[in-house]
Amino acid sequence: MPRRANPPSAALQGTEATPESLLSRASSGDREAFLEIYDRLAPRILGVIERILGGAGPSEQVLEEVFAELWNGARSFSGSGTSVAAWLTFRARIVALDRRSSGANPVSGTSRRRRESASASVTTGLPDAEAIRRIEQRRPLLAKVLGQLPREQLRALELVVFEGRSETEVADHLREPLAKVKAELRAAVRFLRHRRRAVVGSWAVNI
Amino acid sequence: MGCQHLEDEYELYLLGAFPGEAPGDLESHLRDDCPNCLQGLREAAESVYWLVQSADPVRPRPAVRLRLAARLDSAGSTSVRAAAEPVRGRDRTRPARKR
Repeated sequence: MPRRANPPSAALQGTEATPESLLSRASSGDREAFLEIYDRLAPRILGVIERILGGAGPSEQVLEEVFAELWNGARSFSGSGTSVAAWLTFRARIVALDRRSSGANPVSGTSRRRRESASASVTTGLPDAEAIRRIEQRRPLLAKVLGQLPREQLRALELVVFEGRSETEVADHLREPLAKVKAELRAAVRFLRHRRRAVVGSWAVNI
Repeated sequence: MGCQHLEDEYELYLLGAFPGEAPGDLESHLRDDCPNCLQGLREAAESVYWLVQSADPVRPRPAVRLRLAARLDSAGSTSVRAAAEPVRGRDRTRPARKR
């Protein structure tokens, strides 16, 4: 039974304690502060995991693991300036894709190594809390932008994001020439980059 | 300087879309800590966050929170000590100080 949840936007945008300040308290052993982070962010993180893995049971296991990992690393994370939501999102994607690769939906033997390499790069430069807050404030507009992508580009991009496929694997899956898939993926990320800059940047734009 | 041709690769690199080494000279730019490419990757990570977060939120069952809370209780006294130790190994997806 789907359990779609409303995005907890106020939690990320309001004047209440930020996930980062809650994590700072959690790093001193404040369990309630940590569970407040969970209450605010778990629906979004589980949404990502379920999109990758499907079923609720395995997805909730991954959700629990990722939050437990954050709790275990709270002391070293706290004060880094990195967004807690961003860390949870990237980490949940990696763990869910690894689980997917080792389960019934293997993509390729090299997928895990490739993702590890990429994730190492991601975590050296995760977005800071302010950047994520700007994105969250514009979430409806950004959703609209995704809907503006040509269907073929969006499909190719989703195979990369939620199935962890390489561009070669996307081409095989779609039975399209690799050159075409490469061009579609690059056109998609270029479009999204320009739109994101416009939407979360300091100038107004009609989309 | 000289990194504009790599702009379209940053998001795909972070998403792990390349089967082998990153295309062009992105790999060597990253090895050399090219400031433009590192800045490009930081910005690309915002796009990647947005993309991954395009999934619809799903409310976890209450049992998950209960299990997590029990886990915190049992790990509580050791977790802070463990977190204070230096991060070992190459798993850099664990929380770590920003460089």
